[in-house]
Amino acid sequence: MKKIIYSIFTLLLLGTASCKDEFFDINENPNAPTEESITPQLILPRTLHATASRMATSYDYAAHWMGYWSRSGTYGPSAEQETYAITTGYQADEWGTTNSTTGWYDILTDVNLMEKKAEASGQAFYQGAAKVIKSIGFMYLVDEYNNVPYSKAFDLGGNILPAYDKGEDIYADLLVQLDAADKLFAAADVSADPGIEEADIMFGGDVAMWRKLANTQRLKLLIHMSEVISPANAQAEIAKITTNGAGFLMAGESANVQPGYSNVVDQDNPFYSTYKVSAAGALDQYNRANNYVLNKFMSTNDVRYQYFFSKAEVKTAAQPNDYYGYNFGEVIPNNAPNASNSSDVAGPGLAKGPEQAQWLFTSVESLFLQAEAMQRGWLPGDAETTYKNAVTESFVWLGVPNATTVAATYLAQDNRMISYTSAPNKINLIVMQKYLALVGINNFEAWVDYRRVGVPTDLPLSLAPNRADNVIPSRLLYPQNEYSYNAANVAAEGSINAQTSKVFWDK
Amino acid sequence: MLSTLLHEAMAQDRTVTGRVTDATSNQGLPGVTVLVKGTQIGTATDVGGNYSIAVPASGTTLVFSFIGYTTTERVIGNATTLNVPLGVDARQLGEVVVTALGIERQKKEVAYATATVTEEVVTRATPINVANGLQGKVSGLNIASTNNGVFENVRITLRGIRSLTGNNNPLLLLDGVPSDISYLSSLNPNDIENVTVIKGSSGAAIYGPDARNGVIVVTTKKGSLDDKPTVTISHSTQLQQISFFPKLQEKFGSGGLGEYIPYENWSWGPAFDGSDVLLGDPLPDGSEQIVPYSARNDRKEFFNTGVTNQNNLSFAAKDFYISLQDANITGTVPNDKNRRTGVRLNTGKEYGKFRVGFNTNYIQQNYNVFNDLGMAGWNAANNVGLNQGLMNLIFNTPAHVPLTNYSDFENDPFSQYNNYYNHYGLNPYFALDNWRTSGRREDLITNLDFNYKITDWISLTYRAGLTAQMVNERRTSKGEVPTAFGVPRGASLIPGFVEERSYRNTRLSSEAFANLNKEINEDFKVNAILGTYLRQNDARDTRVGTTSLVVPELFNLANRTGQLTGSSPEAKTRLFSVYASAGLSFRDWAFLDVTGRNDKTSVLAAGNNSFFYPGVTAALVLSDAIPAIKNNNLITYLKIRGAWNKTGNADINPYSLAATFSQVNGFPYGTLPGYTANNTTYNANLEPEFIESREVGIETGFLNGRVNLEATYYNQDNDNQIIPINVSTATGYTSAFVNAASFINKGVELDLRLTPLVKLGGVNVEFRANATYNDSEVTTVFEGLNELFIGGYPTAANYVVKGMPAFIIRATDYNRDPEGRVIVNGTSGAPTQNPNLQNFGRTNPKWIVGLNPSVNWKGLNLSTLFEYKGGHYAYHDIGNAMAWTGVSEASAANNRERFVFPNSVIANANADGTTSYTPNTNVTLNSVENFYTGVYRTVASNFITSAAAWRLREVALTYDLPVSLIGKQKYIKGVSVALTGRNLALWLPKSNVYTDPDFTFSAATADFNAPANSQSQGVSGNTSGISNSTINPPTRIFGGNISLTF
Repeated sequence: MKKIIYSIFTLLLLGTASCKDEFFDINENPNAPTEESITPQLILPRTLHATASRMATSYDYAAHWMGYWSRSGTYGPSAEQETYAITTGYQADEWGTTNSTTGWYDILTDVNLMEKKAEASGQAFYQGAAKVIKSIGFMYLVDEYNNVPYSKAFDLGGNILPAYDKGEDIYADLLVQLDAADKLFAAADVSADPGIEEADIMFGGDVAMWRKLANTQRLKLLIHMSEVISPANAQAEIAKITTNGAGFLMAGESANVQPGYSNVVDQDNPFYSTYKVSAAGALDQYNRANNYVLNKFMSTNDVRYQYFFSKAEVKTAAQPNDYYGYNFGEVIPNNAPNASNSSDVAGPGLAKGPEQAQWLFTSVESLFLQAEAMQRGWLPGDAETTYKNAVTESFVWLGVPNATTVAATYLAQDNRMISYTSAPNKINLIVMQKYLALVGINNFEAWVDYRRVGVPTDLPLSLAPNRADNVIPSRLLYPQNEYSYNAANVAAEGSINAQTSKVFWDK
Repeated sequence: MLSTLLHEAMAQDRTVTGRVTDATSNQGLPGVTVLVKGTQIGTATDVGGNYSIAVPASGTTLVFSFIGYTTTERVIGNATTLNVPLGVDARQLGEVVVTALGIERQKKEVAYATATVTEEVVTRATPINVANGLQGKVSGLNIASTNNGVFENVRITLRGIRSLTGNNNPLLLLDGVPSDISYLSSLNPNDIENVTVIKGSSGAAIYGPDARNGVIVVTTKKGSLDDKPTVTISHSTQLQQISFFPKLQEKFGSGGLGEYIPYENWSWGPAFDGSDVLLGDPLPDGSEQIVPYSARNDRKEFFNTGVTNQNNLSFAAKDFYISLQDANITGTVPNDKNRRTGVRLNTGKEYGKFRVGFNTNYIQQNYNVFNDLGMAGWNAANNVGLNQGLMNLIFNTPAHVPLTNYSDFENDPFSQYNNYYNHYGLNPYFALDNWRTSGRREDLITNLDFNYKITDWISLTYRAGLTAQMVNERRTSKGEVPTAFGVPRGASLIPGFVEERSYRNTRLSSEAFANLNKEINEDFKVNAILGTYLRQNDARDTRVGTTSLVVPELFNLANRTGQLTGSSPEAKTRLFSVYASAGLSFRDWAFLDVTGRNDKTSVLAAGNNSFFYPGVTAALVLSDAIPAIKNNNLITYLKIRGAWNKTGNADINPYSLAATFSQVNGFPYGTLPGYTANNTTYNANLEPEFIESREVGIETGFLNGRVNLEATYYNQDNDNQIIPINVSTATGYTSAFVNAASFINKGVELDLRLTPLVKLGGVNVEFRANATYNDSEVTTVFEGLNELFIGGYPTAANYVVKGMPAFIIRATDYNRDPEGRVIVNGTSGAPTQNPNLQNFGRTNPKWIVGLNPSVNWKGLNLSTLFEYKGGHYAYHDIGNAMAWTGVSEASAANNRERFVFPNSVIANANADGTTSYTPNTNVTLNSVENFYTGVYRTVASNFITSAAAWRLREVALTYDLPVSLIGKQKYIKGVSVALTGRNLALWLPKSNVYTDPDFTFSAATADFNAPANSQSQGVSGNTSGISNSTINPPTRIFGGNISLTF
């Protein structure tokens, strides 16, 4: 008996002591893919959706500052938004926060990885797509923050504290990257890019459309720099675009993302879900029409407000109108008309249903960019015609019945805000009409144009009682996380004042 | 069996009974061993100290022995009754400490700080959770209740923290088996024989790597010493009431800008005047709700009196113990309940040199509680901020609203979802009913022990342990469809949802060790242990849900449209250790122990996954060593001790060596997948982290043991921690798991016992006190990085900051001039928020003090326990929420008339470009309402207060009925009744008008590796001092219990 116990005990001691290495080799992740197993095909769809979604749904702040939208009477004021007293926490998810998956750096991380993986495996289409999305993401970051990490980004091993690049240098490199993207697309053999027809939820693997988008994005970057780039340089850059022959996004050629949106929680169209009603039944009760832009439309026989905004859900004796907006920053008495008595910002021209595709770059915006480039003499063509086409495209895009006729009537008015001939400043005219065409569609671009050329020229400041001397911010503040976790590099950017510090193209 | 009994019965010819008491207190002493001298015949006293022993004809003397008391012999003579008072052994030579592997050692041999708490002390105020029974009783031990409710969530740390972001939970050593601390809350306190707290990491070599945070050694009852069975039945009922409520203003009712609005959630209306006002909108049928415009107390009365009923039944016989417990808890939050039912069987058998033991404990908890996360999710989807937690619904209720009238939200028209008076807030009764979490947690804790004594100095032990936890939980929302009347009043769709969760976590351990105890000669004794430990952890967390139920209140996943959501991650780890310890003692007054352990783990890469750590401890009992002290009545005991050790660990989740990708934002859409990189990246070459600990201590006894004082100083270097550091998002990630950060943690522990303090006739007064001082300093974080986010809100959170204690609050503050005065605008009179976070105080207490005076007289005992924690700070997010709706006392300052911001200055730009500041004497805030709902809220420093608190933790008045009262019947051997109270009083500094500063909100963890789930008794993370509206108000608990022994 004793012997048996001894030997069992010895066996136990030794048996366990001689545990082989394989015994411990159980640390392979059984739950999630790692970098080894991920492919560009698995990254592209989410990236396109997140990009379009961010562009369409995260610039409420710009819409409010720019006179598009206002806060409804249902909500109390947001001090940061309405007094322009923004902090390092304000809109930090633009940059990307600790838990976010859709900040620009979150998206660009995936894009960067997709580009590297695609390059390594010779998938030119995915590589080109990565460069195009990268140029969009970094454009937004520069337009919001000016200098940001670019050349040292996405290199945790080598640059755990990424240094900042100058905004103008980033813009310059984005133009280079887009040129490279065009060449990649031109030479792409689609069959070498597995699954591109399905994964490309924007153009279904159509090389020609991607080249148009890339070209239009290049034009957009140049227009953003309108006040700081010399005409010669602009023309030289545009010559590079025109010589590739792929053209720009034209009427009816919006870049729309469609992964298969449906009326299902988390899978509904981002714009519709955010500003109309989510698949879970949540209504936007916060954003409502701003009286500034509403009056602009109503005073110029412009029906488009009925497409940008909705009729009030419930009319009352105190508020008998179909369309009702608020003045930005005003003190709204608690018993004033509330969300249900006012016009939401997801009008029938924008919010058609939870299944609709999500615009990422509209034909309307493209035509306005072309018109401005022509007006500036950068791009060959007739500015007036293109301008009129752009305005007409806006009516068409919104689904106004007999759009062409209605647009022609509208354009025929002898109004310095409408008529090309009578407008004293053609650039201002084009930008103002772009402003009126992109309500809710591209809120961010309105803020870019306001900073760039000062249009609209009569935009009112917030009526918030505590606004004091603040004006519309000229940039965002770097997020608190940078001050905490990349302190030396952000400190090298100096003291930033959202009221007075400007991005490089804002002169 | 039968024959043995018969044999014994024949050999016995008389019975001696009696009662063994403490000589000083005259209280009955339970568990005293009574032996017939020179035989193996023995028994033990029951809870009342009574015994009955059959003495064979040959027996002449009885021997009474008990740990900590002087062994006493009595000649029987012709007596049939022998009542024996036992004196306390002044030299405490008998005090036994349960140490590694469940091995008992004399306390004097142990060279590190320990404290033993008996079952009697743990259960004095009948807590449900053993942890609550330890609060305030042991120096160095910080047990913070982090919320109220039907689960008593606690955070337990010993000697501060050793990991900045990781696990600081002490190891639970349950009957010798290393277990997760979360099982502490499952145990039936009445099953406990005693709890020994090993405060430092000394001897982690033997306890395993988890012991770096100290060890809570729980030993359960093993049955009585003889075959005579004892049955104990007890019952207790306790009531729980709100003891402290945030300070609310009672001057202003609903509205805005001083104007009355019947349907507002804001209390920014006009002052109360007692007139009748319309509340809410007239209903479609024209009915109106008219209430007096004056303050009511409904918001506090919303909370119920919670009731806890505990029933215990236990049966003990020789080497056999079985118990049943049923604890039924209803909370102060309406509808919240939890019922814990457990059964334990501890049994063993000895066959000569071979002994086998088997302990098993199965506990089931069935709970049904408000799911505030469900409500928060719905609010977030509806773009409603500041609406997380039940307390927020309370803050959305103006003072004149008869809140308690709205409980019948199904039938009463004014209470229904679509008709509720409030356009911007939910009826709390409705919310509590709509979002529920119901579930069952099952714990199985079992271990099997084989012990074989080769000789009288070598024994072999094999021990297999299994702990398993299963949670089956369902989260539901009944859902609500808005009516045409409700929509314009802000009612929107509440989707019906159901989420099913099935979680299991099992840990299997297998341990074998040899124990050697050899007297080499008269002077030297050797004690050695050699063993191995193997452990495998296995977990899976499956969640499946749908957010779109079709038929309302039919909670089946099949009853849905759209997709199922869910995931089912798993985790598996293995650890293998070899350990050894060698101890040498000299003449029983000098002790030296050397230990070493090597761990090999599956969570690190090959090459980094095996690591060794040593330790050494020494103790000198001077009162035995030095003859001058030995026979001294003033100093009766004097011991000095010291310990040094290193512990290694890799206490990280498995698969923490490579970054991963996941599908988010609705993906997959049909056949279309879409992945994104997750935010954390990892270093494939992570190394184990090491902690170096030192402690020295002194233990003294004076005046024949009437005064005892123990003191310990400890100091720990925590280096190269495995932590997720925060990195710039521009790196592509927001955190990176690396070896980084070092900090030191140090402190002093003091324990004082005055037993007795006063003794007057039969009245005996005792006093025990303990105090802990703890401090820490972060020495490095990472190159180029000086801070780390630990947890909290963007405006106020726990941070690690180089050069500061771990942790401090960093929070938003006003813009201030160089003298610290608040700068206000010269026109609006309003201050502004400084966009940069500022450093505020520490969040872990610097001082913890426990005072425990007790008095007893005959069978009557009154024991009280006061606890103080101080030197730290807390942030109360409810201050922000209450300011927004205008219910906080602060928001009614100056009767809401304009006032000059106190001690403020106005900035003047000088011609030379500098700025000067002049005191503001006359520029008043242009809008008080705007100030409180605006900048006042975003400046988090307004809601940071001292976290100091005195608590009356326990009061227990117990009475053991004397034998004379019970009478001469055969069945009942003892009756004990008690009145108990817990947390009867809470004293806070004036500035803290919010809540118990120990309460801490911990974000629900999505991490399935977390012990249990956030809803049940998870042990919280490292964040402390951050409370919000999900925290219920503090409560006091009082009641009584009765215990019968048969």
